[in-house]
Amino acid sequence: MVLDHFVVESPEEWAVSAYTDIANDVLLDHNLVRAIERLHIAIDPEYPLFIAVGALGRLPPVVHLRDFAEVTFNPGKVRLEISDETHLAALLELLWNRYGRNRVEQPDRWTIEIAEDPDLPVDPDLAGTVVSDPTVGLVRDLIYALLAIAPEGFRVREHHYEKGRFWLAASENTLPDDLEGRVRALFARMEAPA
Amino acid sequence: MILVPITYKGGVYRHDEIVDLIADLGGYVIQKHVLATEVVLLCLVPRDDIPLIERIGRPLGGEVKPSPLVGTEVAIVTPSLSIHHLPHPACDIAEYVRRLGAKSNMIGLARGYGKRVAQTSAEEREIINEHDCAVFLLGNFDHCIRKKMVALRRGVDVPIILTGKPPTEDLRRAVDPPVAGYVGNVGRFMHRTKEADEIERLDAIVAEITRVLDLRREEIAKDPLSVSPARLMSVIQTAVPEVLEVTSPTPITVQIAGLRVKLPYTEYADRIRSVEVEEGVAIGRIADVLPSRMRDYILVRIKPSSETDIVV
Repeated sequence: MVLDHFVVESPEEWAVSAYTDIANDVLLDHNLVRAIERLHIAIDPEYPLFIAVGALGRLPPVVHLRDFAEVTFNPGKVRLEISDETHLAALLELLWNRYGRNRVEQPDRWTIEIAEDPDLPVDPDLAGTVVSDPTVGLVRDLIYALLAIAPEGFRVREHHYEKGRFWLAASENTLPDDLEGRVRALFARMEAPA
Repeated sequence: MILVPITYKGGVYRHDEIVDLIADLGGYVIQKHVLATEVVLLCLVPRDDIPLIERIGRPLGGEVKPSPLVGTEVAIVTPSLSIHHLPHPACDIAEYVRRLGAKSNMIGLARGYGKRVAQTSAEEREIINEHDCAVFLLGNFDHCIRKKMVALRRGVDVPIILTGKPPTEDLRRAVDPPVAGYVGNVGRFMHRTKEADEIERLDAIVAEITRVLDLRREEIAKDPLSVSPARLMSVIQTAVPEVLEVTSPTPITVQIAGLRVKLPYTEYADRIRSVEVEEGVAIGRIADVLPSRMRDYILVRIKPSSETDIVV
């Protein structure tokens, strides 16, 4: 696996090779190898505690409405000409929540019309609206993959993602009080120059 | 006459001749698979007649291989049926054991994970005990295996073969009192077993199952069964032809010391008990006909000759 940093730590030597293979297989299966830049896993079977910390590589850009639709403001309604259906479901959900289902119509597959309403005018910068953030899905997949890597009995879990850095801790018992310190120490080891 | 387990693989064309030959020689076809133009027969045949079967099968494109696990039913026990254990390694091992002739059943425990919380239910234990042996597929940590096996083996009476990632010697040290067999360097993995070293590990599991079951056969040979399970299968097939209409690949599963008949217990148990193996000797006299915990099947446990004073 081509990661800038990929380390598995455990007191049992055979478990290191086993979990290296498991992480490798799971990340490949979930197409996450390209998304992750660094990954550091520590497993203590005695407590027991599984901690994975890592960093994502270049994040995919957010999708704006203008990226896949042309917005035209006509008298009485705003017309959206869709060129790519990939984000249509997310867009409809967003428009329904913002303007209500009674104002949003889809006369055909490639067109959406929003009726004007003086009480709640359509945002003039509608084209700049963020419709979808692929990072959200990526992080969801990443957490799912990390749970598949972690031993199954570790059902007490906590995870966090912020600005391209993530961590997940799992245990069979309650998570230790010094979890934050342990996570910080692992991040430090991961980010230390080789 | 000593019956030995073999697999015959050959073309579908004229394979009936082989089936007839095996019957004429006093052998039994335990299972028959027809796969497109190929037929696979799992059978028990007299040891001295194997060259004859090879000779007659050769012009039909047939080949004979020893299959030590034919006529056995093996439980493959995994801590759960989640993505962590399935499809690899549990399915890979269950499928590989089948290739060698065993009838393998995968048993995913409801709460087999976690070193502190691992446990088995009464139903799970009873289902495992209906098999000839149980292969426990545990994970990668010696520490967890040590703790978990205490709970998981409780109430399991059949021989246990323990597999895990630690080397075999470490597994042996981890479990006290000892179980019947150990295979190290397996553990949890999440890819299909296809590399040579992985196939070697599967072979090691099969070798250990074979060794453990051979010991069990030797034990049984000291006090022979009142009837051979394969013969009892043949008798039931003749006397209760409804069993041939069951769509399961093995309507009657042969075990080392019994059978699993895949017919409803309430409807067929009395009928099976009254079937005569030989004149005056009914199945009910030489075997216990019990309800199985697997669906509503019937479990036939053959009594040893010391208990019945009969060998038929």
